[in-house]
Amino acid sequence: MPELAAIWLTLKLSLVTTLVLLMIGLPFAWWLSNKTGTLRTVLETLTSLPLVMPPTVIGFYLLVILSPDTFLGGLWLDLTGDTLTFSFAGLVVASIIYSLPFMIQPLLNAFESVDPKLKEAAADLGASATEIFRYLILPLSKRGIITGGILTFAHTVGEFGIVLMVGGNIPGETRVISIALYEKVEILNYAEAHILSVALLTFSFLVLFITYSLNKMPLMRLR
Amino acid sequence: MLSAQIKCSRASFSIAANVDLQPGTLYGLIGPSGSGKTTFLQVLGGLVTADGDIKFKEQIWQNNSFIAPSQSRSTSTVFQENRLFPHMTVKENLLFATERSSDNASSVDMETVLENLEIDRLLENKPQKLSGGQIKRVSIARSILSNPDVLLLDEPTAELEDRLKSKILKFIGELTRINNMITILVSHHLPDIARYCAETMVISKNTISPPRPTQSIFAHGLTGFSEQIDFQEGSVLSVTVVDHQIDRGLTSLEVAGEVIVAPITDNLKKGEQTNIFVLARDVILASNQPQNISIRNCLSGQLVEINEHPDDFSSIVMVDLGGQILAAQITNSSLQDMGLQTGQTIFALIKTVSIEV
Repeated sequence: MPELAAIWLTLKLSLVTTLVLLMIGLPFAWWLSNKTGTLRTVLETLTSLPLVMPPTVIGFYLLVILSPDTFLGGLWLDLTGDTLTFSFAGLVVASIIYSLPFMIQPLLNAFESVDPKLKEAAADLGASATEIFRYLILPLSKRGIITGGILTFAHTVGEFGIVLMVGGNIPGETRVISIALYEKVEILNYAEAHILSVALLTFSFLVLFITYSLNKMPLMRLR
Repeated sequence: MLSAQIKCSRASFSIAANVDLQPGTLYGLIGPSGSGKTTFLQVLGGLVTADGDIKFKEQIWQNNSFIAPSQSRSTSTVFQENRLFPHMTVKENLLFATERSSDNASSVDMETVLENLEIDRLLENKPQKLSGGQIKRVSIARSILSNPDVLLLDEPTAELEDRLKSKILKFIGELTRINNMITILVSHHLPDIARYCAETMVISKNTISPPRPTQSIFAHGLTGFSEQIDFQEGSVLSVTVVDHQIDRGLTSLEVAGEVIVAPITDNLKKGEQTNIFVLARDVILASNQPQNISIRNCLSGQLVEINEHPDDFSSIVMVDLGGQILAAQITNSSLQDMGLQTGQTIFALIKTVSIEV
């Protein structure tokens, strides 16, 4: 089996990205779901930008922002002795930004579909905002959280442009499946390109199939 | 004491109230549909904002610069619609309340609540599995178990069968006294209010009246109110259970030294005291003691007052039964034919089946 390192790296990147995005996304989406007005619209627009922007544009900006000459890139270099660009850490940062809408939107939808009357009832019984989130919103949003997680994971597996811009093609560090595939095609190794493509296609189909099945399932069976 | 001077205006209606409510009292709140009963409860609970002041004991719940959030008010509401948490079992719903209950000395016992609301067999069920009446009972239990100082009940008995309804309202009345709660009961079923609420507030013309003794409200009627809701005059009588005649399906009750019978009930024990509500139009008057009739209940009393009904050709006649007042509605023509006068002795007949116990 070719490119085992690339496959392993891709899975690692996707998992780390999904976990970090869950940790950031849950509180952020909860906070955002309680907001109204212009600030909310602006923030929702910003988090959704990666949906419509060419990955190369985001990748280019990230390359500039994360480079060792900047404050952020310099700080990272001082702390870890490694650059953010062309490294695994840089890929994680890039993936988080690129997959942001795939986590935030499902979470927002899920949080907002919880009946506000239930929140009132909980508050009426003396539950604090944190308790309402922990015991009411989170369990009732389980489906949205799972959907967000799956979509983020799958989207990270499939990213290409942004990875190429920020990470390049360093085996074991930034060489993910899509990059490896691109290289196979460049050197006209279609046989191995086919293998990788079929693998990615199957994976994507399965992920979406599971997501849609989950969403059609009655909530109770998820528990 | 809970005192509220509030005004709440919405596009479709407005409601104003200036009331002082005392601990240990079960209050009734009646008014036409859409007149703001629910809104008033939610303003007290901190779920809807209104202008004005609300104070509970020494705590300010709201004034013109501050509104205390629902969490910091020791209120608990039984909502009209199902607001049980769907992902939790009945037990988890109840524990959610007890874990956050206000730490009063007068805390309520879980066993007693489960027993009185007859939900001890439902504990492991999810709300989806419950019937409408069961959801109501669990909701009432959850609110009681949060041990509130102010219990707000928005149509809590709407989906309950009569037997359970009487039992639950009686239990709520006792809890209100024992735990020194302020309880407000909203119900469309006026006999519930009449029988269990010591005092009642009435909404008319966008205003909530200060609470008045329930007996006087039902005995004297409410001018201008009867057109808006199905309000009917009646009287609240305090009775003591004499015994149950199981074979005849009757419960004997003592009222003012005389005995009447009502349809049998298993909610009341021998010697127990309760209130019954008798609609004025279900009472028949006779000048002489009648013989050979099917009506079992004949009470003698003194005619103390005659009020002409404002809306039709009838009058409400008040009969004093050894201290308790029974209202009877008769047509003005009967009144003239019988030549009724205040001060005379009179016999009041009540059909057994019209008595709700």
